[in-house]
Amino acid sequence: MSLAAATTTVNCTSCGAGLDVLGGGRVMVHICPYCGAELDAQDDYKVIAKFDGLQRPDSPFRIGVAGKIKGVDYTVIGMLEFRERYRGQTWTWIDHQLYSPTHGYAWLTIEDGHLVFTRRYRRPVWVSSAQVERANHPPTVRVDGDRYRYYETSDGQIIFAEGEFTWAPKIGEKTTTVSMLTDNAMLGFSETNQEREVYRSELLDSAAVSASFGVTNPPVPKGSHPMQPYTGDGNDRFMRIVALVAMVACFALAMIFDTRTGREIGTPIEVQAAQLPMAIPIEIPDMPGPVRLTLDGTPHVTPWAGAPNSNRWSRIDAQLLLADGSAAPNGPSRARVYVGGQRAGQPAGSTNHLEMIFPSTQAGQYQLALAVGADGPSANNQTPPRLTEGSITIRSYGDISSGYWLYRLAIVFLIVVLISFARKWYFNRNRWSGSDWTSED
Amino acid sequence: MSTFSCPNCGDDVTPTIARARMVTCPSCDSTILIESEAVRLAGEQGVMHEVPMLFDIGDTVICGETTVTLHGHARFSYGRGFWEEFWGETPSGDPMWVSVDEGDIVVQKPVPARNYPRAQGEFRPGRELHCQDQSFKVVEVDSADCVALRGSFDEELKVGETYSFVNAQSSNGLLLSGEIWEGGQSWFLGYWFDPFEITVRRQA
Repeated sequence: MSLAAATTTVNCTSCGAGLDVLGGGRVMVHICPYCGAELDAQDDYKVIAKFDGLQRPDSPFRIGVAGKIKGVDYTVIGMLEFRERYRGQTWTWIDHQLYSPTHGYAWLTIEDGHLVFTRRYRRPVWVSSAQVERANHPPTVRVDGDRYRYYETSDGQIIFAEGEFTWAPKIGEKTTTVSMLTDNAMLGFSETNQEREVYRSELLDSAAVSASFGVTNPPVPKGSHPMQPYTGDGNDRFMRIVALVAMVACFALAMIFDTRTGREIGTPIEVQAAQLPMAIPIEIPDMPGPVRLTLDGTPHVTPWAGAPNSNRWSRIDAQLLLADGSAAPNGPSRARVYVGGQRAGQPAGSTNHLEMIFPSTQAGQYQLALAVGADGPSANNQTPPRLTEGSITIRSYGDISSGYWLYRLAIVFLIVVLISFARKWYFNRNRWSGSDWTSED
Repeated sequence: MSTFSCPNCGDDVTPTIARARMVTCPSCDSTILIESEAVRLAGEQGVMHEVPMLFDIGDTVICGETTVTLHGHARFSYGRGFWEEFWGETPSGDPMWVSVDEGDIVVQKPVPARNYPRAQGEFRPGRELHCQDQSFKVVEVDSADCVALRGSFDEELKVGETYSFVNAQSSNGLLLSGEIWEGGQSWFLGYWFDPFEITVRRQA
């Protein structure tokens, strides 16, 4: 329906003031801003109620101003102020009834400085306050591909009304509204004594809409609104994806690098355990990339008579020395490798293997001092005699690669991803902090 | 039927579709009824005042999965205001009505006569109706006058005639609308659409 073209102004049948008629054919009442009379727009503007002593709320969107919302021309035709009191707290908000000749009626609401655009929603969906009361978990509805979860139930009471409306508001009338929230929209299930209706709300760009309506002092948003979508710093999603991809790439590369064990340099040196202690000259060649020195002890040696059923072992302590016999500053502080300790026929254990990595800057002549640190197992307070069998084989490898730093870099990227998710989680926790849902045992 | 002469002014009149039963003359104020091999004057087409509209005759409207090309435009007045009814066809040739009521759009197709709700007595809000295995609750009962016509229709409409109508809503969002007149009735079934959700392909 569109308003008959000829009707543009009427005189208030209560006080005679001239009233602009802006609101189309579905307007039911016109509340005179001068005398507070509620006039029946469908019946010659007869007075059907009178609201005295109302205090007009301070809204920059006055009746008659027009602007664009979502690309559609709307005019403000009415204004309502609501108040809700709950447990000693009071909330107020201002609803502006909007009219577009092509898109019909809508509401522009100022909530804590945020602008909210609300339109009637004609999908077959309904959640009543009674359903919410009975629910053990926050009720949800799924409609048009969006999942809405219960947010709050409000009982707004009209404390101010003026202008044109598609229904007949009454000062003091209460409307119970159940609100359900999805990422960037809210469904409101409103119920009065007469009817029930569903509305869908979206948050607007306050500055852009205010400018479009010619508002010079736009409302200033306070805090974040539950419908405010999480945007991070704008690049948050991009950062998260990049960090995730980089993390996976680092892990994959690190594993590939770790599989490159390198090329053996020179001939292995085998030292018999019975010859220890001794110092073995080692040459770390000057070549691109690090050199790995490995020491492998014989996995199994014959048990000694004192403990014939136990695996015999000898712990060989290794110390890296410079060519002149002084301690190498880059040497490991506590290096040891075991001869024995494994069952016969079993592969070497991790204790039978020792590695030292020499960066290319540390190439040169060294000595490796090997000495028996301990023997075992002891039995009847007796330590086993010196080993007469078993050996340690020393090998050098070049052209090696290691995933060590890539693993650490992957962990850094993992932390970036976790921080990003944590920020989103924190945002959503704040977003839902206004919900009145409480789980009862 | 192809181009014929207007019985009132003699100008050429070309229905936009073959199945048109009624067309308006582009040159005079006449509506013309097409009856098998003849045409006759049916009345006046009224004055269609210019108002902002989402779409017009010749446009193709896409509402959800329904596509309708509009051929006829009727305006109904209820005194204080009016609403628009557009008649059109889907690409497969099914007739459709697209109603625009203060930004609310309804797309409905005719209900076959055998499926009309079997309702005796007066329609009133809250009354239950049954149609095509669905249950509906009456939400609106009113009447409106046809004030202006343009384009082609597959049924006869008369400017100045008063139509009683009833709207009934089902729990799954279907809207059942009925037009009742002395000795006859027509029923239509369809869905509401949001004007922000529809797509309009303008006439080339």
